Amino acid sequence: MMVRRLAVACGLACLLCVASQAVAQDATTEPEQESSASGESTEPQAEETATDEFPLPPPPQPDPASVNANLEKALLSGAHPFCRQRFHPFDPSELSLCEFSKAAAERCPEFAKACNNLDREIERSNLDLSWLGTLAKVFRWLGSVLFWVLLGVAALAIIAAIVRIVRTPRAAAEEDAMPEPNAPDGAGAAPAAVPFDHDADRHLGRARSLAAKGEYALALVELHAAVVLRLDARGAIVMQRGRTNGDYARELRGKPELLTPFRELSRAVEGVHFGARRADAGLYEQTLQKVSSLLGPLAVCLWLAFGASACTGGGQRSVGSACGGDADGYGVLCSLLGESGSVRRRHRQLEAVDDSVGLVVVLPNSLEDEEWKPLIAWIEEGGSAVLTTGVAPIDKVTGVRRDGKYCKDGARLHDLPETKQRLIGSAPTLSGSSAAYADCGGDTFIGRVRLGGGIVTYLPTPHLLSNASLVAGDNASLLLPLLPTHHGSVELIGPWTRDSEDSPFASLRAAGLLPWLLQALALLLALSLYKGAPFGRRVALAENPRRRFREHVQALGERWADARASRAALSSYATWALEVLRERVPSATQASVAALAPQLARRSGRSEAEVTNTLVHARLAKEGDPDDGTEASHLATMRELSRLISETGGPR
Amino acid sequence: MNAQLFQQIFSSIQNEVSRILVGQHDLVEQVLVALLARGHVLLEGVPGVGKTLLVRALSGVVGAQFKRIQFTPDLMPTDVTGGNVFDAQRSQFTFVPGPIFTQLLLGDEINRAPAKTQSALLEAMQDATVTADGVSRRLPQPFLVIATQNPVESQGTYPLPEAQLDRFLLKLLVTHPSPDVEKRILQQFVEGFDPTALATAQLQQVCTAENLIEMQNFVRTVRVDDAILDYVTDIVGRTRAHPSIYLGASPRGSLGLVAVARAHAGSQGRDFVIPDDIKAYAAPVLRHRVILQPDAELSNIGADDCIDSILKEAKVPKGVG
Repeated sequence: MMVRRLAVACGLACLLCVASQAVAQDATTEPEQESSASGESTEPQAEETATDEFPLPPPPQPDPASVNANLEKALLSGAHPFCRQRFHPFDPSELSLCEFSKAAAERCPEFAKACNNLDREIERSNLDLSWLGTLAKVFRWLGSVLFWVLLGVAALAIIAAIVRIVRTPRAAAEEDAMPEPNAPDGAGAAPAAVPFDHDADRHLGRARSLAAKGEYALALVELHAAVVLRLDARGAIVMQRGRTNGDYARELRGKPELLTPFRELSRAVEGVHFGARRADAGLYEQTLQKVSSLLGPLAVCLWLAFGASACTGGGQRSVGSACGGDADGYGVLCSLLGESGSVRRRHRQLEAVDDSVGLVVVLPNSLEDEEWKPLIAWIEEGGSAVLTTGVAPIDKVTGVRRDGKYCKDGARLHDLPETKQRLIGSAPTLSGSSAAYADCGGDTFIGRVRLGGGIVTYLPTPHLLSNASLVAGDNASLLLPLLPTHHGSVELIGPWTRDSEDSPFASLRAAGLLPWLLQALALLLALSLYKGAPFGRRVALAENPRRRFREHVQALGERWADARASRAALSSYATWALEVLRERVPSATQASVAALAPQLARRSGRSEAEVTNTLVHARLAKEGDPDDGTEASHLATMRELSRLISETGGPR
Repeated sequence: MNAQLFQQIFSSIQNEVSRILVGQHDLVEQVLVALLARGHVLLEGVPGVGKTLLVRALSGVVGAQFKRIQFTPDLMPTDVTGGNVFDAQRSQFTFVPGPIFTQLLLGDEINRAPAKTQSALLEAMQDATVTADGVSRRLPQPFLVIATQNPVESQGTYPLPEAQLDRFLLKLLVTHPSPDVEKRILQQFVEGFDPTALATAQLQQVCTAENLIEMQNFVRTVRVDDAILDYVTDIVGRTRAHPSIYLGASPRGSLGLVAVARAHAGSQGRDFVIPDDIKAYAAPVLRHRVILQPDAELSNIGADDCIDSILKEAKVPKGVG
């Protein structure tokens, strides 16, 4: 009863945890919905779609206070190691981002230091370090290959283990169900007609349901099976088809805490099953109570482990860390967008843009030209997109190109020339017809154009949205207004689009499955404690009934020795030895011992008399000489023959 | 008689005999079980391990008659059963009962007598009667034959024929005692125990022959479930299909196993048989009823090894796993 109560409590705790997480999730998504609702009411979208000319709305105004606050919050989350983590590896390919380092020194001192050190290092050595990038790529590729190989091996091992686990009980059950080849007809078939279930929990469940129906005799048998299986899983006993309760009790002799309840259970079951005792609710409950110590604690542990893991597994993951925490990553962008609305990275192919998306940001990617059609159609229907890199099909329609004068000193907002805020970054300015949001010496640095009913914002370089840029100076507060989130969620098209994550773990993390994986692992750990280390049913190794020829010979020899049959042994051995020795001398296959001896003496290097003596004894033994000699003399003759054989070329 | 009383008397007999026969508690139990199952025992062991003392002590404790026959090559059947002798005074033949007319009979070194003499025991062991000149005479009850044979010496012996072996309910192996037990035997001897004078050992009679008959009758009422019968059938059937066994056990073996299991169940205070009862006595009941293949004998595989493997393979009845 105690166990049941604890299990129910744990289950309720789990449900509460899940419910609370659901509520929390709702709470986090609600503002996004509200903001999109409010966006609908405040934004004059009807005006845009109603007019034929589609005039551009006024440029958004920066809100430095709130953006900076969000930026500080994002940096403090620790999801951007390039910024404050000491000795964070700095990729030489990120060298171009060091233009932001001075302005970012206050927020990201370690990034600034890394840039300074790298500059110094390059100046000092005057070496071309571009090969380091190639080397890094090669190692990354090798690491990726190795990772997948290891992952494949691990997957195969897991599959093999699962198959083994699944097959072992089934094979054992089949073994139980099938009569052995040695079994007589019909013997053992009747009791083994139904395969034995090796799951203790199912037996326990059946015991409970049978007890609920009032079938206490069968319930006791199921309870007994559950206890035996549980004890077997704990390694306290080894369950085998030929073992009785007495055998198990003898195994439990050293464990009185297990032995006593097991004996009580055995007595009850045997009395009912073999002694035709009446089983009632009292006996069942009494027995269940006595054996609860054998069933309970681990079941409770299992529930606790699962409950605990379920309660702790639903933590919020950092949005920023998934978008990249290095200087050239977009973690800061994701964090800032995540603070004011919903942001997600597009992993799937660009087939269509969801209705819930309000803005698409195009970062460097590997999409082909023909894959942009859905995005163009979506923009033309009133969507907004920010292009940080060339998208030929869109550029062709809008006529905007990134081939203007190179801007080195950054840009100012076009409509707010009086502000001291300056956009840090260098890139070629835009050419073509676009409304400037920021300009650099009169050339458009950031521009906006109409495309059908939607707006396309051009950024001269993706570096402007990189982590290094957004932490520098006022870049974040100047650029974020271009990425409004109140129309719906922001979708990022980047290197990850139509591509997978770097590793399955990253995929799991990105998909939010890591907590569930950890829960599954915790559950497996609890199961291993609960079911026992082998997880499956242990099978006693079958002894090989066949014996080696050497063992037969040894057994025969021992028998002869017991019977003191040395003369018979010599007779057999001499027959074989003489045959072998005659084969050694090709011309002497039919020769007498006297003719054989000189030739064998020459080959073995022994005296002729000695060899003759041995051969004569052998011939007499072979012919069954009545003067049979002693056991010692028989043994001596056999040894002499053995030596003679080995000296003339071995047994064969 | 009920199971509790049965267990109580059984334990009393066992404890009292074990007081005299040190370190042979299990042997005493097995002999008692055979007695209560109305069977006979073949003890195989070297001389001097207390076989005669066991039977004498048992007869004293249960209040039964005891006689001993030393089997020799020149022993005649009538030396065992008795025979008709001409009474010159009455001018008629009078039956003179042989030593077999007793309740506990010790047949020492039974394999030293020729087959003809050994066969004199057949009818007595099977039907508890002796027939001489066409007249059958019942033997006193309870009747138990405990025969001994020496496994080491084989010269001048007549191995028991299969039919004779099959009459023995149990074949028990008596080995040398362990050092501890041997020391206790020596201590007993030093303290003045004389095995030939049991009266001085203050042996208590704990029951009568009538009590034994009651206990034998109770054994016949012990319940044997169908599942147990299946188990016994399975085990005995497997002896007939085992690769190392040339000839398996007969149905008499199955009957003997059930009878012994019933007596053992009673000795444990139960009025029903469980698989443990069967398993505990499978080897003593079956080991002398199987004939091994020559190949198995050469490989030093014994009957007990075969029975062990059979017990491992045979599925124990449901509810036991």
